[in-house]
Amino acid sequence: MEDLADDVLLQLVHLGDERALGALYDRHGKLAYSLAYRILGDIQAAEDAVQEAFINIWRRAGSFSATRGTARTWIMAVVHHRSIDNGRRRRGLAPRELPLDIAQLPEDTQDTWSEVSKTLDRELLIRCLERIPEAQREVIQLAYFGGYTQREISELKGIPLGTVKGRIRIGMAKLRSLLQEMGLGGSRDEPR
Amino acid sequence: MSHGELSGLAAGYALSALDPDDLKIFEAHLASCAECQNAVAEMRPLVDALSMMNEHVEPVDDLRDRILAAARAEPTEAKSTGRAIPEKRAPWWRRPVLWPLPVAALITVLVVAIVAVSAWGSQADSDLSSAQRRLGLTYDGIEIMAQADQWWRFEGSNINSGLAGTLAYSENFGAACLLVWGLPEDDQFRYQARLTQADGEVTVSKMWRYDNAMWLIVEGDPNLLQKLEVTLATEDAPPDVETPALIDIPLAKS
Repeated sequence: MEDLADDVLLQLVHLGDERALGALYDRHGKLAYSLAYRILGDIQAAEDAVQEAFINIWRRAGSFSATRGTARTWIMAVVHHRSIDNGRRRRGLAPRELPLDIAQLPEDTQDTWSEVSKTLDRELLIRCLERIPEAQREVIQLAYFGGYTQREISELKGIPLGTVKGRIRIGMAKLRSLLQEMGLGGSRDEPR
Repeated sequence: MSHGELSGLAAGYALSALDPDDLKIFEAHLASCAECQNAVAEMRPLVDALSMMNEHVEPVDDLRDRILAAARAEPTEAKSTGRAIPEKRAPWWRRPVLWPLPVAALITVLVVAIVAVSAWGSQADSDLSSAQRRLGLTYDGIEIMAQADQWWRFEGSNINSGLAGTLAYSENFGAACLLVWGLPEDDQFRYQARLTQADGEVTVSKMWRYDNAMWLIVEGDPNLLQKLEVTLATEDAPPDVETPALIDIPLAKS
């Protein structure tokens, strides 16, 4: 099983193969748990979120489409959404509908990053994020790791909603540009 | 909202940070706007990168066991549609054939290169036993994949770019399993496999569909094939050596 690609494992999970689910956990469980812990800041809550996320994957593996994105991105999106949901519930905030954006994307949007992103170096990524202006970095982190909506960030920080939207948009563009500068990824139009 | 305002929401959408009203508006727009679809797609690796920007924390040892135990108690999509998962059985090559294989046999032998054409059309899931048989076959395929020595990955041809698949060969089994997914779930479609080789040492022994996936077991070493193709046939258009391939897997070493 350990030699099977993620998307094949998801096909097997869809058919009810527990070994395939175990293999996916062995491959992505640590990263998933680290993300959940970062979002929730609590060991027990992170364990619960990862368990619930993998049960979601068990139930919904058939909805994954390899032509719309990598399996890891999909798995981490499931973990992220479950963690955000649980975190909001713990903070007394209303649960949110969190779509998996990859279901919306056209089938030919595999970009030059798909392979590169598999080997992204964590320290390098952190350095990239640190180079983004503090105000932009803060709203991105509140959105992604805090699970706040743009309006909630606006209220939390006392800044106009338009400013929050602008900081997120510009910050993400800057992050992309920084990653490209460091040789991670490239233009989607470049040949592989 | 203007297109400029809408496209400005792409980053917030990728971060799952849109408020419900904006989310509804943006998703409706996204469904028909290629530019915004591309903008969101460009954000995807950034979000992927964000998911890795954390201190690595080791989960507790028993989390894996807890997840598998919880999964065992949960139905998967396949189970929830009434398809029972049978007990693990002996591999297919050690079992008597208990059901007729509609087209497992060689149908056409061509003089030069095309050795075999076999086809097994999709059959409606009319009863549980049919579904169980196909699930049993699927487990045979999984067993081959689990012990495969060689792999080929491929995308669909230009006439069906939504397909993806993998071919796995196990020397131990002396057989290969082809899995293709992303097929339309329409029972009127019939698929055929076309093997091109110099001699007849490799044959298709079983071919079946399960949901949107098509499985095929090849007896023999696929390295002996020049290529393996899957084509679409209809009731009106029977298997034909000229039918364009949905999937074309070049295997020739030369």
